[in-house]
Parts: sequence; structure tokens; C-alpha cells
Amino acid sequence: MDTIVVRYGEIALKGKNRDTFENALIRDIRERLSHIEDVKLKRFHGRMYVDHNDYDFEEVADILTHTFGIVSISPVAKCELTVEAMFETAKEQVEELLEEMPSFTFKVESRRSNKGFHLKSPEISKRVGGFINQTFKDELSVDVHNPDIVINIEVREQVYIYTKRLAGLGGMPYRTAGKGMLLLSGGIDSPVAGYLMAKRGVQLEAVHFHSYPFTSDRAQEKVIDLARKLTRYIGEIKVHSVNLLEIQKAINEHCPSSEMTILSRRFMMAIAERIAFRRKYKCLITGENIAQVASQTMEGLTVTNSRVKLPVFRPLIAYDKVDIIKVAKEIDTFETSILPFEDCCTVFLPDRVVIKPQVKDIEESESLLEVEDLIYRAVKEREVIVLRHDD
Amino acid sequence: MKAYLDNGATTVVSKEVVEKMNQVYTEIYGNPSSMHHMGVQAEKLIKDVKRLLAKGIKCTPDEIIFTSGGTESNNLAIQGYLKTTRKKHLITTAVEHPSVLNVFEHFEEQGYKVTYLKVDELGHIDLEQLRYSLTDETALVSVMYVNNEIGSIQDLQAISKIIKKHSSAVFHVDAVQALGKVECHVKKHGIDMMTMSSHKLHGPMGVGALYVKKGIKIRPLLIGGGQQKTIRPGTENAPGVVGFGEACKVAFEELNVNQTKMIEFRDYFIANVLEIPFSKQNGASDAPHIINISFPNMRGEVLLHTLESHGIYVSTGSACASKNKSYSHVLEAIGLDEKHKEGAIRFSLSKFTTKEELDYAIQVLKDSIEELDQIIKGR
Repeated sequence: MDTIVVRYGEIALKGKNRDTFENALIRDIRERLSHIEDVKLKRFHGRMYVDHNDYDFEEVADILTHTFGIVSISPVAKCELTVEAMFETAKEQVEELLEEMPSFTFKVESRRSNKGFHLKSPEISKRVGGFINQTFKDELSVDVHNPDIVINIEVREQVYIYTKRLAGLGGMPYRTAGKGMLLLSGGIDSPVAGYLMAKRGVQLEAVHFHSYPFTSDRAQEKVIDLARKLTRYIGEIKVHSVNLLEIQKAINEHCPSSEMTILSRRFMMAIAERIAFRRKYKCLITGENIAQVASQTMEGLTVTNSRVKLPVFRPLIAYDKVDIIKVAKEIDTFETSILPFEDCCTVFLPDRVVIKPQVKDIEESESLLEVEDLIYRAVKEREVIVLRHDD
Repeated sequence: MKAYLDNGATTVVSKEVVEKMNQVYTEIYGNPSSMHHMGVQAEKLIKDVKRLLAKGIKCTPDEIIFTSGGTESNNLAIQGYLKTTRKKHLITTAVEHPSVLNVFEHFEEQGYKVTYLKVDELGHIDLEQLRYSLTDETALVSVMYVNNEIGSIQDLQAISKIIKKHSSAVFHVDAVQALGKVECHVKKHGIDMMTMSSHKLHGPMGVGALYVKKGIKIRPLLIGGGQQKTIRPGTENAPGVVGFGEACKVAFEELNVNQTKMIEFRDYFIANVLEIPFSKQNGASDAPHIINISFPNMRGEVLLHTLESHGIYVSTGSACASKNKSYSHVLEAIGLDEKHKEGAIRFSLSKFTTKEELDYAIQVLKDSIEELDQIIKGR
């Protein structure tokens, strides 16, 4: 058996709620590792130890570094309960690190939970540190305040030594921060918005809008593909697929064409909120971004916002496009997002849009429509798809 | 009701073809290169198809190479031949399939000089332009027989005569949309290499053939075992080839009957659809099975999805993207304006197309366009 030590930083700081967060994280990790045989999880003094078969390391490490709430992980080297064995193992670890970087500063941190061992923690650190410093005189120097590398030594039933750190995603364990309904399109922004909220522990469901048959089936497939990408992080997601065509036809028939976009967006918000109420979800999440397009002006956002009672979270509101793209590339949604299929048909795109809409005017236009009836039918006729990471 | 009018994209595999293939998959499944009886049996089946195909296009069996389809045949013909010559000038037309056009563009980047022959509004090349484009340096001329988007047919006989008279260039023909639909006679048409594909005539996907006239040397694109005289190594797709053979057999036998029927249906369909205000036929009514009509106030993709929701399947010449509009290079080449390119729909028939299907499609088309027109006018 090999072991990986898991650090989860921020959760450890939470006072009385710590148990809740730790348990959520453990549950999440267990679920994600459930398909791998012979995995054992232990919690100990604010960290977690994952025992696994050595040939599973790559896969287990990949899953852990993509689990929200984990700050970093380290593969553990184990040795017998002697100082000489510690010297040897620490030396091997340093040699491995030196293959990646020519020189670095270090310190040794020890913990002795096995009180049967004859040396106390400070003494262990001192001896091992002295030995390493002596052995690698040219390459290494000690820095106790801000070292590049910490050589961790834990004296348990065996000695655990670990130095390498693989960065995790950070954030909070999934499903610890309430439930949010994501307005998911085929674009670049909304999958990123969903990811960022999920990373803070918000459980996601998604609503997607299309105008079939005015838009292609492939546009819908594209959104499903994007949602599937998110399951790598959140395990599963339910997607509500809503046809907006009747609504767009009604707007087209009765309202000024320049208000098409803003009115459609208000309908989307209202429908997403309706579904959120039914599913007991407590907020809406959008990929909106100030000043990105004509409908995302301060006035435009105010008008769409005023349609709903639930809070609307827009994690990307102040991001630059390049930064959104960076995250999209990290979570592997970018390539899918830039496929050419559009989920909102260009037939209805007006030549000119209102840039500074007023709530009063828009509500007046809306009063020309059978709003309640349109929303009711759109929600009723939605399709629901559940996507799971292991499918 | 359903009407599949996208036979230019691919066709239903006919029952007799599936049966024949099934037999190969389950009974005669030996490797055609194996020494034993089962291998020999499979090899014999492939030889039978070669003979049949050779008889159909009027060549000899050893002039036929089986491939994975039209794209591979086009690549093997063009790239394989250019590996054997030092001449650096190539001629093709502006309306070729991407598996020809992009190969030429690739060679252009490598320093070759390529002449892209212009076409008139019906999609026909200018024989004069061909004549003065030919030089001693011209290695190869590649011309599509039946255009896949607008159905124009090039006068191969006239073209080959000009090529032979004014140069020593090799004449390659992409006959993917022609095989089984119009006469393909390599001798009469003066063709040196000809690309064929199975799935456009009710055979399976993933199978095709290349005719290479005896005496013309080409080099392989793949390196492998010694199959097909090392020109196209790799275990032959015996079930696929047998399916292709059966499909060709039927298509050759029924050529005249099917042609007459499809031409009648084509003209009937065109006459009825052109009653729709502002509609306009693109290209010529050359091929019996390909019809291209523009509805200038519509967006092709919207119309396609509307038809699809009624069980009618067609193709468009452009994608409905608000950014980066990309139109068909063929519609561009015949000089259509923006509106006609955007609203172009291809309807393609097969021998299985029925009058009822066409009547249904005509009715739905008329209704849908009226409905969409209302929506667009509402703005």
C-alpha cells in the first residue's frame, strides 16, 4: 500500500463547523474514489491520509487534485522507526527534487504521534536537517521562515516522509454552500461561472435555453458536452433544457425588435427562477460580465435582475475576457465553447439593440404578452437530463 | 411521414447489400491474404467485385484499387501521382470537393503552381480557359464529374481531348456523385484516374475505389504489407468491398431505369418548388439526383431545422452563425449574392425516393416558408 497525504487548508480554520466541512469532503472523496479498489481514508489532526495500491497513484492523485476543498497532496515515502532510515529516505526524496530544480532552501518539520519513539519532534528535525544540510552542502541551505521545500516527517507506526506537493484546486467541499441554478449556454462564460461557484461549495443544477427547430440539435449537444465537462468536478449535474421559440415568436410579433434580447433574457431569468423554486434552489448563477455585450450594460443587468426575487450571482462580473478564457481552458470547456453552433437563433437578432433599457419601458412591452402562460408552458415542456461523470 | 432528401450526403444501404455483407462477416470471414481456403474464398470475392466494377466502368480488373472511400481515393490519385513526377503545375476547378481542393492548396503551399478553373453560373468550366492554362509543366488536371452541391456535369470527353492534345498531363476525375447515376466510361471519357465511393449508391460507408489506367505510376501514401500491389497496403475490407460490389451491380443494371425516374421526379419537384415566391434554382439540371434551390429571404439552417422537425432531411450551403459567415465555395463560384447563398438548400434524390415523399416535402416547404416569412416580416 502507498499513501497520499491530503491538505485542505481553509476548512481546517472553520471553528465549530469544521466537522461538517470535513465530513462533506470525506464523503465527496469516497464517492469519487469508489471505483478504485482497496482505497482507505483516514482523518488525522486536520489532514487526511489516502491508502491505495501503488499502481493507482496517477489516477488517485488526479482525482484528488480535482476535488474542491483540497489545497494540496503529497505522496508519502515510508520507512522504519530508526533515525538512519529517516536519513536515507529524506536523502532519496531530496535527490528526486534535485532532478527538477538545481538548488533550493528547506526546513524539516516533524510530528511524533507515536510517543514510543525515543526522540522528540524538535530533536528529529534537528538531526535530519543537519544530515541533509551536510550531505547536500552545495545545493541546499536551511531557511526556517520561508523555505522552498518542507521535509515533513511524521512518526507513526512507521515513519512517513513527504516533500513533494501537488497543488489542488482549493475552494470549499462541494455541496457545503447551498444550491444554485446555473443559466448555462453554449458560450465561454457560463460554464466558467458555474465552475467558480461550485468551487466555493455551491451545488449546481443547470437550465439551458434553445430555439429548436430554429437552432440545431448540435447546439443542444454542445451544451450537454459542456455540462458533462463540469461533472469531472461535481460528479453529476441535472440539466433542464427549455425551448424558448414560442416566447421569441411572441416577442417578435408584439414587441419592438430592439428589445428582443433584453426581453428574452428576462424570460430566461423568470423560467430559471421558476425551476429553482420547484427544485428548492436558492439562487441563480449567470456568466454575465459587465460591458461585454450590449445587453450587459449596467442598465441591461438592472432590467434582467429586476425580473426575479432570488439573488443572482455573477462570479465573472468583473473578469476580463482573457481571464475567463484562461479558466475555460483550465477546465477544458474552451474548445467545446468555441464550436460554431449557436443556441440562440440569429433569425431573431435585431440589427439594433437597446443599450440602456429602462425597467418601466421593458415592463410595458412585457405587458403586451401572455407572460404567465408562456412561462408556464416553457417550464412544463422542458426536458431534463442527468449527466454523471462515470457514464 | 418522412422524406429523406439528403442522398448526396449518404444513402440508405439496401437490403441485398446488407445480406451479402452479413454473409461475409459471419461465414466467409477469412483474411484475403491468408494461405488457406477461407482466405482464398475472401480473396475470390474481392476479385469478383473488381471484375464487376471493371466491366461497369469499362476498364480491366487490375486497374482498380480499393480504398476507404472518396477522400482516400482523391488523395491517393493526386498525392500518389505527384510523387512520381517533377512537374510543378496543377489544374483543377473552383467547385471541387474539399478532399481535392484542400490537397491542391496543400501543394500550393509546397511551392506548386495551381490554376483553379472558373465556372459559369451553371457551374460549367470554360474549355478555353483550360486550353490556355495547360503547359508542358502541367502534371495533373483534376475535374469533378458531377458536382455534389449543384449537380453540374462537366463535359469530360471534351476536357480530356483538350488535355491530350495540348499537354502530357494526367487526367483525374472525382466521380463520387456520378457512379451509378450517370454513365462512367473511362475509355470514352478519356479518364486516367477515377475516384469512386460506395456509400453514395446504397453501399456501406468506409469503402471506395480508385481506377488507375495501366501505365500510369502512382506511389502509395501508406507503408505496410504487400496488399493491392503495395499501392494500398492494409487488409482489404472484404465485407465492405462485397457490399460495394453488390451496390454497384444493382446500380449498373438499373442505371437507365433509375435515371429516367429520378429525372422525372427532379423536374417535377423543381417545377413545384419554384412556385414559391422569389425562389431560384442554382446550377443546371444536369445530374438526375441533385437539386439546389435558394430561398433568398430565408436562412438556410433555419429552414433545414424546420423541415427536419417535419421529418424532411436536406442540406444547406452555409451554417447559421452570426459571426464568421462561411458560405459554400461552390455557390460563391457560380456568383450567387449573399442572400441566395444564405438561403440555399440542396435536395438530393435516390432511386428509393417516392412521389409521395416529394409531394409531402413540397407542401411542408411551402407552408414553412410562409410561416417563416410571417415571422421575419413581423420584425
